[in-house]
Amino acid sequence: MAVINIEHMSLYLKYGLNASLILPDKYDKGDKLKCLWLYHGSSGDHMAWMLHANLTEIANKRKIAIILPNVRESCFVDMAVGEKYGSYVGRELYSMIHNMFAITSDKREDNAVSGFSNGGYGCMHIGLKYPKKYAYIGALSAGDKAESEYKQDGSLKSKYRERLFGVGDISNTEYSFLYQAKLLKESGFKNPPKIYQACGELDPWVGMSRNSRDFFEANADFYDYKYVEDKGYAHEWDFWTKQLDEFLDYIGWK
Amino acid sequence: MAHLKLTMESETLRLPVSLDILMPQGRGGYKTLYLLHGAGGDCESWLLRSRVADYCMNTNIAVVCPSGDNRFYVNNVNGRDYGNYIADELVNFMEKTFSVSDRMEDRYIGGMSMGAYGAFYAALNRPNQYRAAFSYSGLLDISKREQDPQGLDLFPVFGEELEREDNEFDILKVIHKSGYLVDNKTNFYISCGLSDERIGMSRDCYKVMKDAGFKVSYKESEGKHDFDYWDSCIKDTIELIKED
Repeated sequence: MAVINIEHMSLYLKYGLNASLILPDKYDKGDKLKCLWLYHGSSGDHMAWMLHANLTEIANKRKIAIILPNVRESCFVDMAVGEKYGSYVGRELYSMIHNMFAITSDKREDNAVSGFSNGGYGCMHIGLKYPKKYAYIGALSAGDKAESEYKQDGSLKSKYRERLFGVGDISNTEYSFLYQAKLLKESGFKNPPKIYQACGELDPWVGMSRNSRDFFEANADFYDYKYVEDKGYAHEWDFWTKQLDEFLDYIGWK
Repeated sequence: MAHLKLTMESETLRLPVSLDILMPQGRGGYKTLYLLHGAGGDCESWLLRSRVADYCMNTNIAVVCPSGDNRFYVNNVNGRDYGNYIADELVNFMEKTFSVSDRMEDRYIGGMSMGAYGAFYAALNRPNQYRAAFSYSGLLDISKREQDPQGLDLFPVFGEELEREDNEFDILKVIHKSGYLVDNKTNFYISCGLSDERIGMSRDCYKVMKDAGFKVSYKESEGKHDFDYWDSCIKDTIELIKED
């Protein structure tokens, strides 16, 4: 097992950022490892998953590489007022990692993106924004930001939302992953990512997760989608670590 | 250029090990320089105490800095196989994991003091592995170091005097006594500061290697046994590798 912290210069953002990468114990020259891109929540960074879950065990057991970006509090989007973290994570970091490492596979079917909370929203957003790059999305405790309560009242919360997504309704913008999903279907794209979504029954975001479920189930002719709701779980690491394993089982990365 | 901090389990050492790596942010195929620290240092020494990162900006050179744990980068008589770790496992790991070149012409090794000994030891024992090896203020005469260990416990590394000879740790003697090392493709570069107390080791090594027919060059200039001098050395080395 190797754990690598990568301090790198982002040409998109014009400053230095960290990302981490975990490799399994054993692989041979010329192997191409499957890559799990794992996104943090609103107050986290590239260390969040590392500290709360047993990622080195997962990487070893499943013989995969795990990549942990840090997009600060951007929700993995190109901010309305701010930096283009969505392009950074989906384009720049994606290319940088595959260019830097001989051992990672850049084939679509070997790249999956997952995350929880804001990272759950983020993995939907990025997976649907770059559908040629990721074959699988595993969104945990994820809601569509277009459904989040928003009042333009000058509060810190509203200012934060405006920096991320701008002012007003965002349900017909790329900040809404359901809108992205609708556009992708209409675009005639042949091979949408396979989506797994899970939420704890006690999670405050469960209502938004169910709304996403309703959309994807209504579009089952296009999306291969599975929804799981676990009794007794809230917005918590016990749920995300359990569901990360279940997501990886579901997509067959055993 | 990216800076990587890497920890992993070494199969050879059966220990967790740390690496500091400077990695270009381009499309791959990079040259590699394995850069070894001196006694008392670790994988961070070169990055923290020299400007190697600055010199590597916008080059296609990956710099790999392992920790040598005061064990001289050889297979220890009473300890672990640091020689195999540095010159076999680490090279294999880098070349199977990263988009670096696996060609001998693109592989370099260097170091200062104890690290210089390690670099030369590796390149002498693996005549087809490195394009060039660099010794800065090298601790190239192990027998003299044993007489003046300066607090280092060298017994785990080299054992008794006889074991040192049996294991051919003494570079100068090995080169003297046989010609088997001479068919070596590596270019050896020896440099030392004029105010370095151990400059005699570098001069001796140069003479012995030249007489034995190695491709070796020598440079001495103002400088002591310190990072002011080694900074100038690594700057020259990066320039040389860039132009190679």
